[in-house]
Amino acid sequence: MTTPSPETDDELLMRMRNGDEQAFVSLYRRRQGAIYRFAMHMSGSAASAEDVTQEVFLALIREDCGFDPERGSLSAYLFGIARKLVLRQLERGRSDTPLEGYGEESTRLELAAVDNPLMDLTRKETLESLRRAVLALPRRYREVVILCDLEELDYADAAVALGCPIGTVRSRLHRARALLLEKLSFERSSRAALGSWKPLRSFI
Amino acid sequence: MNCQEFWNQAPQGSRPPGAELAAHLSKCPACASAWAVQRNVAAGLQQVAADWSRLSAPARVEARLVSVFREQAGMPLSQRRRPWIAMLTWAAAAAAMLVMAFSLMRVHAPQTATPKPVPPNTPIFAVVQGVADGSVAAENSGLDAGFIPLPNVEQLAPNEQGDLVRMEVPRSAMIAVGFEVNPERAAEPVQAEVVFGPDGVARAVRFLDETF
Repeated sequence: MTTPSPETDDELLMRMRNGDEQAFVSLYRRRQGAIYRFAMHMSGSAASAEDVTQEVFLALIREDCGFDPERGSLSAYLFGIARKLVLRQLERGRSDTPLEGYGEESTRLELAAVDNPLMDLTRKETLESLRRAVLALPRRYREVVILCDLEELDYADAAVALGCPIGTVRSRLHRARALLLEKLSFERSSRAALGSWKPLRSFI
Repeated sequence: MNCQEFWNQAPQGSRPPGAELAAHLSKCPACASAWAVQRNVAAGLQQVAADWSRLSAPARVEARLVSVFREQAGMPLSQRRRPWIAMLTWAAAAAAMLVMAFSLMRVHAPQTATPKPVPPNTPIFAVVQGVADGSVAAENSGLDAGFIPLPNVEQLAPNEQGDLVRMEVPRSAMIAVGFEVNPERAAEPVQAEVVFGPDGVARAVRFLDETF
């Protein structure tokens, strides 16, 4: 006996268009987590992420949402809306300043020459550093890392969501990983330097 | 394959490269080193993703969206029904059940009931119609009082003869003809007398136990 395969996003969308509430709920539950995380990591705010998630699915509920399956998957379409909403929020007042020295043109990294601090990624500390490094990336690199590496969107869908060619997705991702590595190397060397200092006096 | 072609075709995330890509890596130390770093970062990011995968939108977002969806689809805002709507639904269902049950019993198992022939002079029409419009006192007919016309069926014509059948029905059937019934007792059987028309359709009912 074979278990029926789950409905595709497009099938659920079609049922949803016919007023099937359960189809909408299924679609929402399937996709909301990724959209929420994307918005949260892009905006740095849970409240903004909540608003963005709600707006994304409201757009889907509206009949004139404009999703075209010929242009990409529903997932890519939803990420595309989320991205636009996040950017709008960021432009309205939130700053999106990357950590100093991590601008697009600032790094000339020779990957092969850098000591690799990621050999021990199972360490919680390193993961925490990596998490911070992702959040500190400039927006154009952060979004591609979140989409491709964290949410595992394929390059084609990421290109649709970001509105750019696949080649751009590849090159930005390559660059983003290099920036992450540089950030981790910087943190590690800073920690080593700090670790060598000893407090002059303890007040506790 | 040159370096540019390698990076244009490099697999996503930490997936292994195919044979052609692997051949390039074995010949190009620069790409091999850079590729190893990329894969390490991707592997680390996968672990971060696993940590973050628990994050999701608060439940209130879904509730709001479902509410909007219902509005958009023209559905009621809440699935919670008011008690009187539930009672009406119950009553309609019970009425339908009652009519159907009476009809089926009449057609398929007349011998199981205990039909009591109506005396020739008994004005069943008068009883039923009179009770319905209040113009005839049931006490004045040959039958006892308390017959109630069933909803949504034609009443007996003046020249029609009918049958009187005593049977057990669920107490919930009383709701259909306007009685208030304790929900806890709705499933209990109750004795009833039913007036059938010549076509076998139940026309009126009288409950013999009206303790609700």
